[in-house]
Amino acid sequence: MKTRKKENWGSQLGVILAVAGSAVGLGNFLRFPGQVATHGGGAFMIPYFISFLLLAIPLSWSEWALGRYGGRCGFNSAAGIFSLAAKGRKRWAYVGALGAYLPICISMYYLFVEAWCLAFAIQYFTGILASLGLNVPSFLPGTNGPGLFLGSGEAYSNFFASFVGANANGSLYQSADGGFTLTPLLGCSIFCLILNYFLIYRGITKGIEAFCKVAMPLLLICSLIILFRALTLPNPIDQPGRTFLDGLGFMWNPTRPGVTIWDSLSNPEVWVAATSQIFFSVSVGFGLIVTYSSYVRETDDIALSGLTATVSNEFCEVVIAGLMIIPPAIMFLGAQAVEGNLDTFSLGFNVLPNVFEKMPCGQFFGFIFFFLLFLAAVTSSLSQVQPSVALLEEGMAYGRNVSIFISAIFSTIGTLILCHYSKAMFALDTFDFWVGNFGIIFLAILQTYLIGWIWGTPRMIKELSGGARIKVPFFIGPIMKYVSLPYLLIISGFWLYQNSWSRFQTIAEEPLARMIVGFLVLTALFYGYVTWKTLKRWKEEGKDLVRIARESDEEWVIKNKNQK
Amino acid sequence: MTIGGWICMLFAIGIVSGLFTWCCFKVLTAPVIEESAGKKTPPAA
Repeated sequence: MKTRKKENWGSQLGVILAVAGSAVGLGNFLRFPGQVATHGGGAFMIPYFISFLLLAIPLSWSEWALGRYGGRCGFNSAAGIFSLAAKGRKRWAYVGALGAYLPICISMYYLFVEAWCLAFAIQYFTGILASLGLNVPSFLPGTNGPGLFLGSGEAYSNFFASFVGANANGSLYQSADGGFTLTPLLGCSIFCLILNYFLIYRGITKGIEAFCKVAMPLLLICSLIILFRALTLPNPIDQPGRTFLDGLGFMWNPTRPGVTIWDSLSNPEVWVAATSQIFFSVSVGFGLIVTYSSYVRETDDIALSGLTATVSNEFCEVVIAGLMIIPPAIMFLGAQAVEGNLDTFSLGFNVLPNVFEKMPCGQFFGFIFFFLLFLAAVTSSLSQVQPSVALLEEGMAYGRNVSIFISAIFSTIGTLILCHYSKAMFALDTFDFWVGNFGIIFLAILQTYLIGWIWGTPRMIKELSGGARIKVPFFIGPIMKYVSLPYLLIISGFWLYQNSWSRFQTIAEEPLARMIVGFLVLTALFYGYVTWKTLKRWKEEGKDLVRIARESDEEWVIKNKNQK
Repeated sequence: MTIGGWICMLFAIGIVSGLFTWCCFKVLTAPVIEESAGKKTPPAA
């Protein structure tokens, strides 16, 4: 039997930066400020921090513990690790396979969005976007005051729609005469695919870790430059409601006209929004951390690493994005122009370019901002590919190159679908809902149940404490078992109630939605087949998961007795 | 910006910055374990 060479992270800092990099993404910089401003301002932060304590930290720590346990027993794929944690039960291997399937499907559209960021950064670097002359002032109907540049906002919106092919399917690669043309976005999509798979090909230490060690500090420097610019901006217009403090107030004030803090806190939508934000932002619940932490050494401090990675994500989100995005937009555009554009893409690709155009040295800061988004996206997309590579390597005994090639085929097909069906970003939205939201929630619930009720929280705490220089609080176990799971179930129930029905209707009505869901089902069948073959191969080779799990349990009991 | 806004912002940013600083301090001052640095310790005689 061919034995694979065991890979490990080179250093603790490397794994922290890689996991933090997988969590820090567009959601931190673009989604968070919009969510806070839309859902009660400062009042939003109360459910946000409660979710941080009850969901983000326990789930993150539990994944780190489960991953290292699996890695120590010789498994790197979530399929193997889940089955092992469930004392060798085969059905849990199929649940674990979702930990490879969901990230690879997310990477299909994430790579496309990553290409937007790179393309916008290049457009700023070359000066094309800054010199488009889109900033033609036209005032809001019924107002005479200067500075309400709604017209130029629409111009940016139109530019973005045309740039990402939202006006017509196929417009990303078709010239006016119907022939093929390599648009900047298509070129960037190809580059992002190659870059990601090249880094994965280089391996855990030389590829992912080496890149994250450069990219994460660079990302922090870029974000601090933008933050410094935002904090030192002179008032562009001497008007009430257009200062930096007014911008901060727009985002952080807990009371609004006619809305008290209690109104916000008693609104289930605010709780669902805050929990979704923290849950999707920390990247827990879909196998990424399990895979990454399976490459951690037994002597490493995973309690501190897990906490640092989670808190780094929060730092980028609350401290940096909380100060640098909304205030400049309010200063240059006014609350009226920003209010309707607080969703992720509108804020990032319509509102902010409009702000950069009006800002002194806007071309430079525009480039820095989109480059930082690009770095954040690459460090996230890398983590989405590795679980699939790990499953194919470990389960099918394919070499690294073959595993990367198969994963790359899936990513490329998905990205090509999105490049072609770009109209109104409907395909992207459908992908995002079914795998990026629905799928993650489904897997997170099962994973939390597995860790809390089957593998057991005492094992989790023990695993976390091994090599730890910080004390893991005793109440994390009961929280994971009795609070996190019910909390996740309740919030997910509300979220699905709000969002799912219309999506099922869309599948019934829209042929494109059916085609995409069909593609996702076919991909799921492939990963199901891989898991079936994996289990069969392990059985033939005498790799008995039940025995490995039992031996590991016995070893754990002996260790416990000796320590007592 | 109201008083409530200031309290919410300073509370949120303060907690996260404090935690981040503490974690960075702990990670950067942690003793380096030889095995973690990729060097193998020789087996005991």
